[in-house]
Amino acid sequence: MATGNDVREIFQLKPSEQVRRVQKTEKKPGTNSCNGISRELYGLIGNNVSTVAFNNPTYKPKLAKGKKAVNWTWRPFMNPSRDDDLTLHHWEKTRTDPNEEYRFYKFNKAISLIDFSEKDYTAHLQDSDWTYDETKYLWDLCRRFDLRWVVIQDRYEWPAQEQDRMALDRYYSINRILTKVRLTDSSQASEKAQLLASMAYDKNREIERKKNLEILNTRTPEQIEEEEALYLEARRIDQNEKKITRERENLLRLLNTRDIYGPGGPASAGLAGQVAGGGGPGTGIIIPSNSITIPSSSSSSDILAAATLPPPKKEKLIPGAYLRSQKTAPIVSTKQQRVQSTLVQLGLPFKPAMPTATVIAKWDQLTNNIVTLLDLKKQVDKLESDVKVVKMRRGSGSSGSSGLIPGSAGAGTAAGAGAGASSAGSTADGNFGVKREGMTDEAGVSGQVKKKKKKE
Amino acid sequence: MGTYGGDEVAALVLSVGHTWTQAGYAGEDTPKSVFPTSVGWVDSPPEADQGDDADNSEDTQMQDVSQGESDSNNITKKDADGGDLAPMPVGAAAVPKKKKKTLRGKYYVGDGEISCWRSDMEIKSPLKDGLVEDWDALEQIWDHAFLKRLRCDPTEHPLIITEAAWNTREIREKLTELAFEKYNFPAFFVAKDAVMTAFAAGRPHALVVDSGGDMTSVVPVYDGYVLRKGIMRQSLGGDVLSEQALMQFQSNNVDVVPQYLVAKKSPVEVGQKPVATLRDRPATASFHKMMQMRVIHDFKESVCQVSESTYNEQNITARPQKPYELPDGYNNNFGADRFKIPEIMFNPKEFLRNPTPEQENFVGLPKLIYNSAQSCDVDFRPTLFSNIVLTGGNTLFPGFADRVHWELNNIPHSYKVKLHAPGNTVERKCGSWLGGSIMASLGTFHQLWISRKEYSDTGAGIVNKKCV
Repeated sequence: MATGNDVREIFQLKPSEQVRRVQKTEKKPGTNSCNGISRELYGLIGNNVSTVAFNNPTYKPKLAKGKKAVNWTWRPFMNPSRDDDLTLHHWEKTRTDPNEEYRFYKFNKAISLIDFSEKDYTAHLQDSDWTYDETKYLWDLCRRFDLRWVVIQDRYEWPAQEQDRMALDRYYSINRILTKVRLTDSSQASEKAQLLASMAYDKNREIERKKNLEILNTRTPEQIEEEEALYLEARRIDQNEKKITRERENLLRLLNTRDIYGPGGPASAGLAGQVAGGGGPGTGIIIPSNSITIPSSSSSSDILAAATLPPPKKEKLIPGAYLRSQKTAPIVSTKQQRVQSTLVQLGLPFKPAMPTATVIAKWDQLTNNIVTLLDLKKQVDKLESDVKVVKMRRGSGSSGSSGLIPGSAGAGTAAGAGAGASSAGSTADGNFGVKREGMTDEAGVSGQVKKKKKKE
Repeated sequence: MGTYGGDEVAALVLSVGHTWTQAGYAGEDTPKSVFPTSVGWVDSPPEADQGDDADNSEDTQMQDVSQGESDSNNITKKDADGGDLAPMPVGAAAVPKKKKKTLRGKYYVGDGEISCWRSDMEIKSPLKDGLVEDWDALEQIWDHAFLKRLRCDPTEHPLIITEAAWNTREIREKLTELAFEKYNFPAFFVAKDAVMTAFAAGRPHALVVDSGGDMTSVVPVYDGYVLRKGIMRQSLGGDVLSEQALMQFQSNNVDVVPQYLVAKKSPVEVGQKPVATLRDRPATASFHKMMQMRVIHDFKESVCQVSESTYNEQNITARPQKPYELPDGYNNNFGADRFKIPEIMFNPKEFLRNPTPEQENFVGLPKLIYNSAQSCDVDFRPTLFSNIVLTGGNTLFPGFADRVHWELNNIPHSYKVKLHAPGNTVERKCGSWLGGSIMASLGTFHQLWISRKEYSDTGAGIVNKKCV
């Protein structure tokens, strides 16, 4: 960044006294107190040295002059894990204790197996499929391969039968029997139960499980595809149901006609409608026709009554002094843009120019009305498109008689019902036909609203 | 030192593969010595062998030692004669060899020795299908490794060797005898090469795919044990590919002339007949074949490539061609042909030319891998599929690992496939040696050695008890 000094330099002027002084004062702390901090860093943090100590690593290993080199010797050693006297040689640090045990001896671990004698076998462990010798052979394998069953099954070679698959079952059953027989002390009852539980092994279940796993893992791509398609379908049905219910609830809340159905009504009606609509899964959004017609079947006065705007909220008191313009009711942020564009359409500013109490009150009312209007318009659009879809599906020429086509028929009814409408001919295309002077009083808007509702 | 569990006892690690033999010290990251497993054999040595005096003296020394061996050697020689039928001797060397207990002829071991032209030198390999067949030649290899390359005193070092997962009990016993009787190693161990490869890749469980010179094998490994029932192998390896490449050249009327025959060559245009002066060097068929194979080997290494996805002639021809020049000056640009050779590994039915009855039954490598995993316990399969380790020189074609992964994902199954293929070529070529090197330098391993005492107490059969 160019400083005044730079500018002076460019114009070949003498640096001003002040600048020079500043430079001097700037340099001083830098030279004095930046111990261990680079100048750039100091320029950034100044005197605010962080609490963490700066410890510049030195990468050069230092020669430890004082230390004596460790002595290593090439010496023979024996491994106590072995039962012979194999002597190997290795380098090791010169020992102080000549009888030190071989360092890796402690890693020589063997598993503990419940063992049995021939007497035990004849007493408890007789099995029609197994002989004593084969059981002993199995035990030998278990010890040799430390109970790695995959390996045991692989190496199982007993001439008589092919029962490597049953080996695990045999192992656990013998363990269970021996535990039962040997732990007779009643004080060990809980321990015994625990042990027995840990040795539970269900042969048939295991076979079944492996079989199923096998099937699962050897599916053809077509099967996998079909399965995935079905899963997606199921999910779509699930989601659509939720969406439809939610939409209907929204609509009903808006119309305040929830009490017509009673609790749980809309949802069940939605489901029933879906079934009645005959739409299979995955055919997209289905708005059942009967749920639309229900409100219109009740008297129009009910709807008009229900359609009155929600009661004004209680005024919140803001602590302290505040501007009145702050008191305008906030609009939901997702709708803000559309409300603003409507305001623009109406030729109004985003905020009232003179926020007197009455203006603000009116303004709030206006924005509320706009929000309601937009919501209703959205619903109308949706319903209309649904009606179109339904009609197209029915594909009959009787569409004219249903009276649900947006356009001339709708406009006709609107003209009849709209009490304070300043202009007719409003259709679903987004032109509200609201005049500017109409906006200040709510009648203009609510008239529109009513008109829309009537159309439904 | 103790932190990584290492305890060096200066063990030797020897891995005799079909193509290469690797020897070195445990604890190092590369073998000290790598030389071809093939040996040269001249039946009656030419009088006054030039300049090999030092070798001769050493050889005779070792021959003396071998004379002291028991009659077990006799049995070996019968075996060796039976297996010798494969390389058909031609010309001067066609006289049937009558080997006696004392070696009448002379062996040549090592890269420099066997690639040197000698008119009546036969080339033979001691291994067949990963199993030792010619014990004399194997002894020569051990001699060469320990005495000429590592130049160590065998009585001072324990020895660990690697073997194929399908090695037989008899061969292992004989190897044990060899180690203790002839070389007097203080301790000995035989490890499965697949387990060692898994070890080098840092995996206790793995599906080791080893594609070497004469054989491609898939071996499931569980916690350091080979699962025998899952071993799948077929003799479709680098040598078959080389044969096929040779056939490809021949079908284009190109004679592959090895280096030893070329005296002078002059540059020619692409695809033109070579202009070269050839030497008059009569050689045995096996030697000529080996030298031809070396040329082809170099061709494969420099030009061939695997298509990363399913082979598609159109896509392949669109890819850049690569030039290659044979020793006699013939040169050409290779397009689709360079993809067709390694494609045999994946689609042998379609790409093998003139298959023998055995070769007709070959399946693609991905199928082999899949079959191997499928023959293991269903609970263990996901682990296998996510721990596939590629090793062996034949897997070093560019794109090989990608292709295996692609093909495995195309076979219908619901396992997650994860491939481990070290980018480092040394690791890929010496995987099993490396695993042996790591294992033999672990402190916890030293209790597993077969010691001389155990051997003299129990006999050679102990190897089948201790090395499982």
